[in-house]
Amino acid sequence: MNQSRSRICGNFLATVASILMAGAAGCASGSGQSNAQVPTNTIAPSASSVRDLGGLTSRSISTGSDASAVNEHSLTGGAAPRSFGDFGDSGQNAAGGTLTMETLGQMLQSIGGNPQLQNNVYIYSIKDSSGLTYPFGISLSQDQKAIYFVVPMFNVDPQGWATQDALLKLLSANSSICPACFGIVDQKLFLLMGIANTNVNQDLLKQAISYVFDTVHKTQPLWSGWMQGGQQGNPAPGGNPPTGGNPPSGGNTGGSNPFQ
Amino acid sequence: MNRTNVSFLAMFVVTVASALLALTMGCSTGSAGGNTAIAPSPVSLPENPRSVAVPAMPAPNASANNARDLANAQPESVLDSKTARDLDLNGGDTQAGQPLTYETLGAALQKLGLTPEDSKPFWELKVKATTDDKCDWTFPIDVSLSQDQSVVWIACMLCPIDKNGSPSAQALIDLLAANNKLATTTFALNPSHTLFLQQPIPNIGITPQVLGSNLKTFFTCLKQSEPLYKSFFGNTTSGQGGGNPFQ
Repeated sequence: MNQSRSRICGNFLATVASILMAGAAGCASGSGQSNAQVPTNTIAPSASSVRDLGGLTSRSISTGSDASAVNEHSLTGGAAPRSFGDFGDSGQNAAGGTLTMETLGQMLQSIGGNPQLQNNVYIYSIKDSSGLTYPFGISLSQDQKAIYFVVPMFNVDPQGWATQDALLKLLSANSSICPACFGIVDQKLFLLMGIANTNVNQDLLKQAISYVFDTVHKTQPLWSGWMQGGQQGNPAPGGNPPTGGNPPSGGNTGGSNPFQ
Repeated sequence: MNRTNVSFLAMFVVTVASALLALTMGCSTGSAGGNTAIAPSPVSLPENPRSVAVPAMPAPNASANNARDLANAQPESVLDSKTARDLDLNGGDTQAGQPLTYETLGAALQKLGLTPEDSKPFWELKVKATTDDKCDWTFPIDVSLSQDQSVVWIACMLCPIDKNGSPSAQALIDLLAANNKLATTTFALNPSHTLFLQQPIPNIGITPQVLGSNLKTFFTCLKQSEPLYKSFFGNTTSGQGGGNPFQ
């Protein structure tokens, strides 16, 4: 108990000290405070990680209509979502192989939905039954060892929805949605999933796509409130379509509306 | 009789006070509700049998410059990799076939020259490493199976963080941004609000070599991302002999 108290006390003192240090650092910017000098985003991407997503980072999930959007089911064909333990297997599905951008494109074309190839990313516009429309990209890592499925969501706005509490919830969700995860690329929140590019056939691809769509739906109660202009909105589990559309371009303007 | 009356009066006073208090709180909640944002719904995702198994006892966290932990850890040479962080996603020897069990997982680790501690449901490796900033870290690296045994998880518990702690929104944004650069290795927060780094491997034909390759990749990610989580720890100045204030 005493130990617990002393820990709490220690944490309290550490917190107070941090606040004081942060204050001091703020007052004396450029004076070499080590805390203020912690480099951010210093990790270089590995060849197996998500490649440059190009123009996809300027697109967002929305409730606006898009005539070119295809229904989720037209891609998955009703395939059951398949999680990580099943990806990368080959024993029973040896008909597949290692995909190149070309063969990946051919496989996606055969699935349907007519993806657009931009900057080495196959891009779909997807609509679901709750009224959401979202961009969906599929690409290979630079070393072609992994296939990535990405859904750009909305801009990260520290002045709006991206509070400490919200970001902690995203990190918490990451422990439940693996192999998918939430990540941030170019100041935009993404849902990502990477699978091994080995023995991938059409069925496996459909099931992987289905898993990503399923994860979008499962996590919707978490982020749907943030779509409506920050924490003022009702999270509306199940998807409460906000009003207004999604400007399809324009990049990160840093405004409070995560759609912009 | 007098005592009964006194008791009754006391109960009455307590009841009235409680009612007044409840009324007051109700009013203030109501008034605040008009101006305050509705809190986002909590994360209540269904349990995933493929997630990292949650141990009955909290797993140890990483520590910085902790002499006792360092003394009990293996040197980083057992895992250090000078190569790139490219994943070994080949899925192992599928002809060899059999998924690892908890026991064969431990045996595979030992075959790699590691000395894992049996902390069922996970095998724990304690590895010490000095990062570029001359900080001496002890990393407890847990290797375990998911509940459904379909995934081998490599994870390192870093430190508890929550909204009452010190990490800024920017620090959390940086962690989420790192998730795109670490391939299938990701930062996450467990139900105990402990920040951890995790890497899943499909439990299909994993040979000791594939396990070792992925352990090295994971360890490299752990070391290279140290600037992102270092600030969550207390005094990490080299040679201070201090520890992790969270422990």
